[in-house]
Amino acid sequence: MSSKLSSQLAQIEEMQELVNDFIHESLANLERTEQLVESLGTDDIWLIEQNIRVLFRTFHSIKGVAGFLQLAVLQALTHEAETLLDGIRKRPVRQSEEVLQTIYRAFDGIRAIIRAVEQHKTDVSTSEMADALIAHIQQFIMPDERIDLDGNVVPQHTPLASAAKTDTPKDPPLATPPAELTTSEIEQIHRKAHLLLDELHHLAEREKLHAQNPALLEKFLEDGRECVERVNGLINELQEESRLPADAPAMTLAQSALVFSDMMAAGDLALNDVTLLTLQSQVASFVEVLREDIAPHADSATAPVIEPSVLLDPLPDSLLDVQTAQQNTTLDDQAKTFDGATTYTDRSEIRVETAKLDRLFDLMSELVTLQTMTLNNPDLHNLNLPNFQKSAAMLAKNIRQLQGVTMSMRMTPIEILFAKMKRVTREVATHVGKRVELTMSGADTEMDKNVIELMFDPLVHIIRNAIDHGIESPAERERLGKPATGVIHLGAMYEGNEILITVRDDGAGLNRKKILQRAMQRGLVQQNAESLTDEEVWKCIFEPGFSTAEAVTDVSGRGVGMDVVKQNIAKMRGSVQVRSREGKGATVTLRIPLTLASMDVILVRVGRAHYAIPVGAVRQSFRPSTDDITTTMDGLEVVRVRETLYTIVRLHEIFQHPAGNTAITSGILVIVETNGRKVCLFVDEIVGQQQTVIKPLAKYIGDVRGLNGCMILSDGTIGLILDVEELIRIAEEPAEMLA
Amino acid sequence: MAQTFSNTDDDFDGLEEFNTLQYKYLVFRLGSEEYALAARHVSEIVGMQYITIVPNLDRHIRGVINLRGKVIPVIDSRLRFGLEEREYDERTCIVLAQEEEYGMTGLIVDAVVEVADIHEEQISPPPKTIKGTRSRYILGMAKHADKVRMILDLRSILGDEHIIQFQSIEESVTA
Repeated sequence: MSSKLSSQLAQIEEMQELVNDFIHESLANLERTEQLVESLGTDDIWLIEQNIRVLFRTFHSIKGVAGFLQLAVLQALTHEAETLLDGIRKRPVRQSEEVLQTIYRAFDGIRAIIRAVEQHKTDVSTSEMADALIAHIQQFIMPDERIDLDGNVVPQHTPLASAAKTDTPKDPPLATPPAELTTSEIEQIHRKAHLLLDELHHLAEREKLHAQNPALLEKFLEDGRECVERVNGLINELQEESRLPADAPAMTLAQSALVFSDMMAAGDLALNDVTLLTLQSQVASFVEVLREDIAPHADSATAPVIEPSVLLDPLPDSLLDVQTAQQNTTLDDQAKTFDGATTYTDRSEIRVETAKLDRLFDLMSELVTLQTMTLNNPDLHNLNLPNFQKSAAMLAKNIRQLQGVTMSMRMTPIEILFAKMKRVTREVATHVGKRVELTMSGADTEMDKNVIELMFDPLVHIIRNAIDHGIESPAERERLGKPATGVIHLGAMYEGNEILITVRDDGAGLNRKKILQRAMQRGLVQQNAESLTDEEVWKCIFEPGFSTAEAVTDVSGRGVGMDVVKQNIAKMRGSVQVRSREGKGATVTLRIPLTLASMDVILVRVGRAHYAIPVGAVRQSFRPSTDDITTTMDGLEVVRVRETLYTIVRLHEIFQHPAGNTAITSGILVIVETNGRKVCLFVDEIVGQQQTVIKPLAKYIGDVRGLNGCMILSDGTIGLILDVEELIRIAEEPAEMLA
Repeated sequence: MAQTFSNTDDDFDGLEEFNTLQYKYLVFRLGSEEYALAARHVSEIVGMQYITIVPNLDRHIRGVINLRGKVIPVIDSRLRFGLEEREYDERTCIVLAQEEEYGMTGLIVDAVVEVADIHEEQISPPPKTIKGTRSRYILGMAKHADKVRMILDLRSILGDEHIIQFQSIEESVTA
């Protein structure tokens, strides 16, 4: 194989990797920053300023890479979105509903394009959508902010120089620029510089890729020289326009960058990735310093900006460092004091593939199993080994800590999920013409990331329901003496090994009469409906098909897709509960295990088989006496515990394998409950309680009725985890179907 | 040996392994017949061990074993091939076979015989007139000294037949 071919293959591979990285990083960034959009609709100027910068950066970096990867559609859309945000950045005031919607649509659009790139390697298919979106965005952009992709203002920019002059410099000997430039001009320059920097960066990347190919290299050198000349021109221009004294720090940086770019343009210095990146960093630091010199505290938190077009006092640059430091601390403090308001904090983190995390989890659980096998090894029985025991105890402690850290790696705050609900709330409320405010608490509660993702759909359904059916119209609310704006409160808190998520609204509550009416129409309840408890009535709304399109138009009780909610939550081994007070509102409570990866189980033995029952489902266990047992003519056994009768389910019969013993009085009965239904399991003995990692039964086997998965026992064999809900269903089926 | 020599001419290491693996087969025995499974499918052979019975499955699926923390389903080849059931003894093995769609699966066999080279020219097509449907597990017949070994098609052994059966059971339950 020729080296040329292999190097080309390597290039393609490298490119592919670049694209993949870009896709994942961009999607992650969009997800992380989308929640900040909501804050632009508040009156908190400080918050808007903080967040708009982060949002701007998100779009900007996507645009940059899109340009490099020649994704023209993506580049065009991000450019437009960026321009819109830039306008807000210059005038950080409360943004209208329409602007927020537009920004959200931009997020959606960009995501759609990235997904298209992921699938088809190109963004061409999305161009129509993007064009429409761009046209939509452009309505919100001031004419003087329009710039094309080359950074030129369209139409011609009218300089605002000398529009605002600053006070006399406080400290003449130090470099203090006469502020002839307005902030918007500085931003202009800054943006131009940034575009050039992006270009330099991409050139440097290209150099790396094209170094092997003479034709491409030629083209690259041409582009490179042209770009370096433009950089050179820009530095000159900036030097002049800024009118800084020659000894200002920015000017010294500019000089060295100029010398460098002169040499590159003249060919004295080779044009390659190293020199280009050096030039880029020189220009970058020049632009940064220049910006600080001209408008040192345009971003200052200590001096809130009221009018962005007014230049603020420049500070002597000796104070700059101190001020930046102060700024950082005050920002942090402020971030904490703004309760409920989302601020962006950059945590230092690395991204890890979930597959690797899963592998780590597997290894961790194996380690725990092996530890038990080693420390409880039969060979060690009856041996007096004090030193070994001491080391073993230390080992066990370390492994426990390691397990804790491993578990915590999958935990993320529920915040992002909650923040997404703000958008949902606003959109649904606008759609149905109601006024709703979403408040939240416990957003810092941490959950397994996989669980958080599964929570999205159920929460959307519940909130949509609460707005559509719960919250009354503003007029109705005023008539009832309630505030016109309804409140939905989203809360999260820990309770044992579970997390409680509550959605509470102050609407009308569930309408018992209407729900019963519909339930009877559908044959969900028989007669005597009036004797049903509220709880039993509310259960109806989770029945599949209870809420259909007609139910929505009839506005007969709530329940858009509540059966979907129940199913999704059940998938996570969680439960749903509804409470309601007429005229006061309803509360939906979701109970979800903290993590899907592990759970506490009670281990029982039936014959040679070991079964695990989730601890949450176990109510009671006891050894029965013959007097408590009644057998029907079908052979159905019923046990009486005080005033309640429970059906007995013999696990070995359901699972059709030999039992250790069949005499009920020599075994143990375990009462299990889920979603309010109870049944009694007959087992040989209870082995113990332990925390376990759930594994799926092999793909080849697929789903087995009554089982949820399996676990590895301390002796290395496999135990089966019971699906209590399904077992109860099996028990309640007519007997002939069991056979 | 001749083959090894020809391979040394090529400086591409991976190719040599590929070439050698291509003709390698794991030969095992069920009763008096010998079967061959392409070596690229075989990842490991382990002795008989405790198998956790998974309830309500087809009879040939014996259950699951724990292989270093991985849960692996185990099939009794005799039952799968419709042969007579037999007590496991000290020569009984579980051949761990890797298949693209179903992942790792264990096959219980009476005994492992050897790893053999089987070349194209030794293989005859499977008999067409054979009774029943199980002959579709056979890819070809390999002539070897005085014996004929059946080359197995792992995919159709694992196949989706049992899933279809399973569905029909479920349907009859829910109907």
